[in-house]
Amino acid sequence: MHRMVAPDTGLIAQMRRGAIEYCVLALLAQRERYGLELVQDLAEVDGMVTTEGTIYPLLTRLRKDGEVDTFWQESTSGPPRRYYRITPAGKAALGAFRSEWSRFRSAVDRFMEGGR
Amino acid sequence: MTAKHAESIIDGYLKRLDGELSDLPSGRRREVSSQIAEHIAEARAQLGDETDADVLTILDRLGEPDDIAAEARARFDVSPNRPGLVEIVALMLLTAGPVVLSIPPVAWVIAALFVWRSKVWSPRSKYRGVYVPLVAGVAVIVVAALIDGLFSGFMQLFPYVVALPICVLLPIGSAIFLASRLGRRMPALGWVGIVIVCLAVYVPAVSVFVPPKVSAFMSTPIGESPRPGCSGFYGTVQFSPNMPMVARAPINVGICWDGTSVRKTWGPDCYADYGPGVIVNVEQCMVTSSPDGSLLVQVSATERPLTSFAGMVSGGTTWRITPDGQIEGFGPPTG
Repeated sequence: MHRMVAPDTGLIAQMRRGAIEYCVLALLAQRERYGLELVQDLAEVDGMVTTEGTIYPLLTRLRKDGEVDTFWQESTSGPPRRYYRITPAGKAALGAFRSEWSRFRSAVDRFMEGGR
Repeated sequence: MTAKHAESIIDGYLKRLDGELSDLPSGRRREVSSQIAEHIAEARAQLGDETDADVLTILDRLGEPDDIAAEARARFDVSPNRPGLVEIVALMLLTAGPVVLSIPPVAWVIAALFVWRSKVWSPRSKYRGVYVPLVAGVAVIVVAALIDGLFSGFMQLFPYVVALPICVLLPIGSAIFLASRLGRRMPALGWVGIVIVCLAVYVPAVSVFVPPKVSAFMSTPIGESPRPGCSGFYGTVQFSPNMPMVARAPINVGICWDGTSVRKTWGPDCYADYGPGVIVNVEQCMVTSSPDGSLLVQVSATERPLTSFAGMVSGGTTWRITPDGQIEGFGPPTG
């Protein structure tokens, strides 16, 4: 009855798990979104989200860390929606990652392309 | 239109998720599961006209509850709770406890406290598997105690005949339910320990319900010794025959007979002969002469299981040795 799950320790999986946190913050920095909308926007990019449900533990942790906060809004088509919005702390974290990421990416790219 | 089985499919999914998330602090757990429920509700609202297949697709895209729970544990830096001593003690109390602590609900209530302390079982399992059966069982016992005035004579036992099996069988049901929720997460050694303790408690307790047997023989059967002859009389009350916990209360007497009377030459010697698990206590060990020249040999003893304060069985008998050296009362001499 208890399915064994191979621990997701692959390097790519690790990188994806680390980076998706900032992809979520980046999406929320554009505008506030409700859960399903956020998940759908992430899933549009191939390879980012394999199981949609795993975004919610991340959102819960971001909210607990104060990088994201939530509010409720009525919906015209269904039940009220929980919206997620980036906080100043979230913006600061995103800014720090953004500059670090572009340096890291160009450094890695230089070796990857030079190696061919 | 709403799909036919949507509610039960989603309900099952959310229940599984709730169970898998049981390692998380309750606030985090509630937040994650309500977010998932909102996701499902929103996705369904956007579909409009849905089928069961649409609902299953939504759940497929969300992923398996154990994957979501694994991600949540990683994000909150919580290690999965492995079953340990608390769970083993709780299961032992539920299975062996009612036998050991003979006031049945006591072990049950203590077991419920251990279950309450456990971080492995989900709150839902705790309620359905333990708390509800416990409250129902105690209610039945209270009702049985209250209505026993309505019955008279032999029927007065009726409420207890109903209440006692409930006190033993319901906790065992709870234990089986809880054990099935642990499955392979419990180390094999834990299961082996529980089974050994249960056997060690139950075998002696059940063995006292087996009726005792009595047997007797003479060391030198009649006809083989010259008159007047002498012999040893060996009688035994055997408790729990054919059980691993077999125990004996033997009585040995030396006798001589001359055709008109039997007299004692030595004894009676009585002792309790038992192994681990049960205790035998010899209550009476007596030889008396009868005016007609025969000898009466009497032994009575009790056996009680070491693992339970409830069960006790008594056994005993009186043999009559006639003036010509025959044993009466219990058929032909047995070996």
